[in-house]
Amino acid sequence: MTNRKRALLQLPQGAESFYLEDAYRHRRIMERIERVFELWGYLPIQTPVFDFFGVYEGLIPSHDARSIYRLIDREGDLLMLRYDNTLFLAKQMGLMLTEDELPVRVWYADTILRHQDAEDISNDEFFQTGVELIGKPGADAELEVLALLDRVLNEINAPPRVVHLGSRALLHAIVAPESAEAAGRMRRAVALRRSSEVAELCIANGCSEERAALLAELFAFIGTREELEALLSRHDTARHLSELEREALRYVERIAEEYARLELRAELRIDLSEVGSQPYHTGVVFNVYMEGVGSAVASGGRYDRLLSHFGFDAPAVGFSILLRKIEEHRLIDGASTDASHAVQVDGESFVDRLRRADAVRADGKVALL
Amino acid sequence: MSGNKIAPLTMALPKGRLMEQVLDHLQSCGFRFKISKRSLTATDDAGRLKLILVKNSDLPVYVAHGIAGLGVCGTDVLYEAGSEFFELHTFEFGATRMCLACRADHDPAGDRAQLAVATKFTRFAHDFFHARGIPVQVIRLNGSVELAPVLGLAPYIVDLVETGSTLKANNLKVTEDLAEIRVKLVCNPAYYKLHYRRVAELLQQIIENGDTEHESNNG
Repeated sequence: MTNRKRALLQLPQGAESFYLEDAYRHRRIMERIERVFELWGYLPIQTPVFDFFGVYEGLIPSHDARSIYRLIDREGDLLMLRYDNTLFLAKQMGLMLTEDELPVRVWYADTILRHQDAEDISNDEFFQTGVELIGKPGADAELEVLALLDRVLNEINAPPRVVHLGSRALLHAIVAPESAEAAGRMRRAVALRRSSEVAELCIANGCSEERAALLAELFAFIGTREELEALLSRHDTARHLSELEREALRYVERIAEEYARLELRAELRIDLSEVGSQPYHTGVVFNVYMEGVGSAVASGGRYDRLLSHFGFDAPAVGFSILLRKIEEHRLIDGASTDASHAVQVDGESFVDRLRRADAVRADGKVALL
Repeated sequence: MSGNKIAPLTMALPKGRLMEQVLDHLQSCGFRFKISKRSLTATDDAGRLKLILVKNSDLPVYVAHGIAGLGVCGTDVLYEAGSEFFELHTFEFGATRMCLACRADHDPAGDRAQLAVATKFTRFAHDFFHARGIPVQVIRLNGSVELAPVLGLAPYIVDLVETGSTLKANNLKVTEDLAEIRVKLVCNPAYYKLHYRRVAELLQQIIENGDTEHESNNG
């Protein structure tokens, strides 16, 4: 094999390109999703491919920072490629929005880039689509994005899935986010469902053994609202939980109760080990899991202080779907592209063929010259 | 989630001695498998658990991508893989030690400022010595690590030691135990969330069978 041929065959580890039927399927799926977003009053937004790294420092978890592609521009400034649409979008929104415009509903669909280890079979390029509902506080906002997410996944024939609903607010009530190191350790122990470590960290944080045991049990909880009620009724919550903690739990229960009334397709489970993966999460958080996919296919939650980082204080809630993870489920038929049903037109000259093709196309069919 | 017939839970096992120990354990928990010599998968008689037999070092990859929902693996392999799983259980069997070893006649006074270490466990070696503030040059080997000090590739090795007989046979000695290695039952987080009740039932069966070191990680 020549060096030229070898060079052409090489792709950087993790780079993704998709062709023909795959690309067709991806476009059709995005069209359906866009239609739903727009019927719900969401407007498109396009974020830049790269931005200054320093702008987002403090908003990126340390384990994510390692996976960000960084580059230095000609002036010597450190830049980063878009690794999360929400962050880049929050900066734009924070700079542009005024109080009069609220609430604002926006949607995005774009590639994000994150490094993955060589052992990982997934790509460094991910296609992320999602929404942000800015300036709407309260449970209605969370319910709106949860309902919209359900509708979008229905629209693209996504397989059965479950929504796991948790609360970053509960974690913040126990360990203040300002204590970054302690909060980070607790978040990781909770997310990895390491109950013994959660209890140890609670005790190190000044909790009594009874309170630490209750918090460890709570953070390991997965189930229905009624099951959570039953768990809480077995404990002296007035004694062992603060008002802020009880409020965070009541809020999650309220979302779960309202969600049940919406009769959405995805089952919702309260899962208090869901505490959100991003430092900017502040309230309810959720992940969506689907059979046959090894990680969450969609995630979201509330982040009420993110925009203030960019100069505009407004509550916000949203979700994102990592679309390529579920496209492999062949949600719509990519084999029967419009081009595969095309009519090959005949004619003596190009002019004749073009006229006949235009007539075919006028009937909504695909014509090939 | 999966239609009328419930699909079995999937569990990756590392081929080799550890697999035999896990199979014995699962059998004592009531799971019966018929595994022929060349087969790479097997489902128990009751259709509850499907085993996927893989190379030890590949096991975390299969679990990370949810090809196998569960896996049984040593903490040495898990550490090298770097994937984060739910650790559901620590088995009593299969424990071993990660050790630093050198030639029996090695004089540490002659060591360079940067420690040179040959090992299969490069990530562990880097992290361990860096946590101690010791600069380290790690030379990756895939087998017969004991040869490295004997042939002069590196004065030290980091490797698993059970009885120490292989070290002795090569005129090597353990200079320090670096970590205890245990065998864990791990679960892909997304898989756990989808199947948490069934995984909890399986775990209960394993715990009731006599192992006591439950990680208290399930809901």
